[in-house]
Amino acid sequence: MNTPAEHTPEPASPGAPGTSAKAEVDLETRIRLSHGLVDHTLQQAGIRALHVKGYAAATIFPPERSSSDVDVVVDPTRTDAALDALQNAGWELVTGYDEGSIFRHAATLWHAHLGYVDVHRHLPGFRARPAEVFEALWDRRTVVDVAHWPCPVAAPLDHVLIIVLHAARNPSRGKQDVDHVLSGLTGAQRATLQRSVRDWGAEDPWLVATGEDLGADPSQVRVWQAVHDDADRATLLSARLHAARTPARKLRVLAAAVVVNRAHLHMALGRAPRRRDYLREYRRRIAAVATHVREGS
Amino acid sequence: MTGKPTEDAVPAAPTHGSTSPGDRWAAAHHVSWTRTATGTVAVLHFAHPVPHVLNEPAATVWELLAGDQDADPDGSTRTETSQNDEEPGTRPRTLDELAEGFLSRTSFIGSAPEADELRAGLLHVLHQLELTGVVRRTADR
Repeated sequence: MNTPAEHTPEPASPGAPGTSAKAEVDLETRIRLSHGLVDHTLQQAGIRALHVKGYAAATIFPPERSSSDVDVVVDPTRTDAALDALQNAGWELVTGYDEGSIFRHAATLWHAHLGYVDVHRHLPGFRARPAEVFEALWDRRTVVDVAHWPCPVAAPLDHVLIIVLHAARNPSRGKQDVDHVLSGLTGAQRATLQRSVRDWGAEDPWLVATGEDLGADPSQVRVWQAVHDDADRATLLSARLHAARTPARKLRVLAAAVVVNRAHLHMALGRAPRRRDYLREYRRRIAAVATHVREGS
Repeated sequence: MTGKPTEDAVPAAPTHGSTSPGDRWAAAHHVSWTRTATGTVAVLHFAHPVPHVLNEPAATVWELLAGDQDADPDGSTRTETSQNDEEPGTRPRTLDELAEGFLSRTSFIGSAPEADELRAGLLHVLHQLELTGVVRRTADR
């Protein structure tokens, strides 16, 4: 994630012994500590949450893999309450659930001393209902200590599936993550994963991430491939419009493509957008729509 | 729902249950801690979420906090040389002196108000430890 300028912690230097001196706390330390505070905060509010990826997947990822934020999947029936609880505990909302991505799946919050947390209301890639997926993940959960705090995490094979689906939309580290987490699985474990893919309707991102076709929908695969490849705006728009089955959905996709995402623009610029920034962004979005119409795709 | 892994198919999952003094202290007092890349200990008290870096070897930290001279959060044996060795008469005796001595060896991010919050949080934790007799053992030694 690109860190907005105003969200960068102020670096400091250690002072002499006996003074209340400032000190640098490296990113890995802050993120590890954050897991415990996020978990404690949500627990206190009675909200179930699973920690995913990053240091919560330490037994699955390579040991040297770093993470720049905390990711949690919360009970889909308590998504707004989760944001309230974290904001009351000192986090600041950066982007809401509807603003973060085309999947509208996660909100991003920032804590001045600790960094970012992404709160997922669902995991992109599953056609099954979010509540169905969450309850199954929760039933099979285990616990991993992060910074000596017990954090609920998905069961190992479920966590592998989550990581693979995330890799389908992660152009930077996706392939190496997939290669790592799938290597060493037994045939039985692979078969179990494939059953989960089919049961939860995750064939489309699974194909993009692994190259294995378990019954994917070509039109949806085209969207996932565009995301995976970090395709330009016009290509992604074409794929999304092609995948939208009804006129109403196509209109929604077009509307989303034109309307400026204020939070994203703010993050990209590192400052509050001005009028000319909005106009420039509108022109770029409309140009993407025009490209799509002109190419007739 | 099908696809539920059998016990044979699931890779061994890590289990929670470490009983080191550091873990017991952390769980009881809503604190998380970790070693930084340079080997110091970073602690976060959830009621006062400003992470602070303890510029002391971990063994010394746990002597102060858990009252167990041989305890290291990871269960390893302390070295013979203790950086907490002090000359007679200078060792902290009261709880506040203990806290101040502890705080004087820490560095943390934040401005003065946050430092006050941190001090308040640390004193709260140390008072809790006094109630369990842990800190008293340390102060009386």
